[in-house]
Amino acid sequence: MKKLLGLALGVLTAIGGFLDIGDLVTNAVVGSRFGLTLGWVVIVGVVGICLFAQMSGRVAAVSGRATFEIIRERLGPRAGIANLAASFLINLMTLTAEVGGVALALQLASSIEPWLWMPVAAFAVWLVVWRVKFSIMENVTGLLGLTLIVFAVSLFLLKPDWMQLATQFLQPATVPADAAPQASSTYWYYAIALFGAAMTPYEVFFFSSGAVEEKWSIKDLGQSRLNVLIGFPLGGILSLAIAGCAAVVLLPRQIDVTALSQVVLPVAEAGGKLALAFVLVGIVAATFGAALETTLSSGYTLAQFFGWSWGKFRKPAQAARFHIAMIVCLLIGLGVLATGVDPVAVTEFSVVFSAIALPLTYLPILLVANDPQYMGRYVNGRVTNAFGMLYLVIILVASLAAIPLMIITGAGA
Amino acid sequence: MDIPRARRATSLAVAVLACGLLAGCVTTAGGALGDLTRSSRSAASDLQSISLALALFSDDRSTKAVTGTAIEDSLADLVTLQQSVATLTVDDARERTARSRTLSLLDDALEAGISVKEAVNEVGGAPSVITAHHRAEGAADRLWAWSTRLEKLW
Repeated sequence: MKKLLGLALGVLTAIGGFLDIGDLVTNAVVGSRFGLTLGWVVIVGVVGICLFAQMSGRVAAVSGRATFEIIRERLGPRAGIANLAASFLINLMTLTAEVGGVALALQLASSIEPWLWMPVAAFAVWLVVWRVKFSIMENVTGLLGLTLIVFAVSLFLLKPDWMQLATQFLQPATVPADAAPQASSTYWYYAIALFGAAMTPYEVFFFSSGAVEEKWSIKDLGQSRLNVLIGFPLGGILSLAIAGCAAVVLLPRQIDVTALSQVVLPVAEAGGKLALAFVLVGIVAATFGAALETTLSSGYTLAQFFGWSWGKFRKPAQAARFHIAMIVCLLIGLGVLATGVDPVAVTEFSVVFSAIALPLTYLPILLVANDPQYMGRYVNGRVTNAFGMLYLVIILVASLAAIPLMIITGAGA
Repeated sequence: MDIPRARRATSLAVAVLACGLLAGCVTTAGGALGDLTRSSRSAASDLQSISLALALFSDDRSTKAVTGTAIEDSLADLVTLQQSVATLTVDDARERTARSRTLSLLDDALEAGISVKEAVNEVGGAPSVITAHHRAEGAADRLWAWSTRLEKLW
């Protein structure tokens, strides 16, 4: 019974922890502009993140070491530094967006200006990272994040034309013939943004390092697979529900989403103040949880690359550089937000730059997961490798197309 | 095998040049008139957002904090649009006329948005919620109609 509860808890926190500010904003932006015609990208992204997350979880469970430690050892410092630089910078950008996201969500609950919430959010993140046990931190934010199921409930309450939504979903890439010449480029720009949001690199670092924090071994591989293969796809359904709500309420009114406040309006229309309360709790939990994960991921990537002592399972004094690195990253994120930059704009850029950096993050994971020296008989099977190669091609195409599309479309304007 | 430093520098220079060329070659579609069209549409979208937030608030389906934030976000966007249109470089009389018409509609949009904010906050002398709602919807409709006309001029 205890084991069953543990399994359920793992899956539930994986669902609740799947969404972050990138998913919330990008899915709503896409839904308000293209309906569900980009729903296929969410599916491609979710399959991709499942593939690489379970791979890095397996690496950690089998070797007892996090992915980054092995990448440096396996590829050498030169290739490792490219991987580190890309992953770390994207992670820092995502951390900034998440702290900003917490502040925006708290503004929605309180009317207090977000810049007043930003230092509070950053301090709270540091405090939790410093004091709270890893499992408590993960479970509380993950379970509270489950309240975002209200997006799926709202979609039903809105009584949409399901046939129309299904048609949009099943007939992707249909840009009207009379649309402006830029429309097709904009469609593909947002396809890449959505893909980047689903496959954000920090999720993999956190998953792999979290496995070490929780001392996973080979006997935990089943639990790890369940968390990923059930939790993440259900989280993906929530992403589609966000886009669906925007498609039903905002698209007909020709409202383009540019702020987090617009993301919650369809929920208010569907379920009134009660639904609004649930969605606000969910957004705060999702962004705060992701802020914790990105803060930890900043520390993990640096510490694992440079060989510092790391982990929340150690006392802060025993992993001083790991904790200082996280504090510095939080301060940098806070400094960026203090310039007055719009956190939603940071979010939009972070998901596109995530897509650009994806090959540098995911290729090393595939290499390590195929190395019998570390993995023994748990190396990737043929099917996993076939999917891995397919995804590397997709990732590479998305990465190469991202900057030209960003320029052509004026960042999706 | 090490890649020679000169080759790395050349590759980097080519990449930077390619990005520069792309950035230089690809201007925003429609030139100044295109920019005015997009600004008008964004402003109409902001007003629609304000209208929806107000409608939900009047129906007691939304809180004052969410409504106020949604209105403030849209007003901030309208101010940014107004500033970008005011500083937009125009080349001829037709573009100049289009810019001044757009600016005038943006002024109306901003005033309509502010009247909604005052109605929600029940500021003394503020219009009723219904009046403010109609005003915002009217301003949005005018911006949509104008953006459609502008698009035909590209």
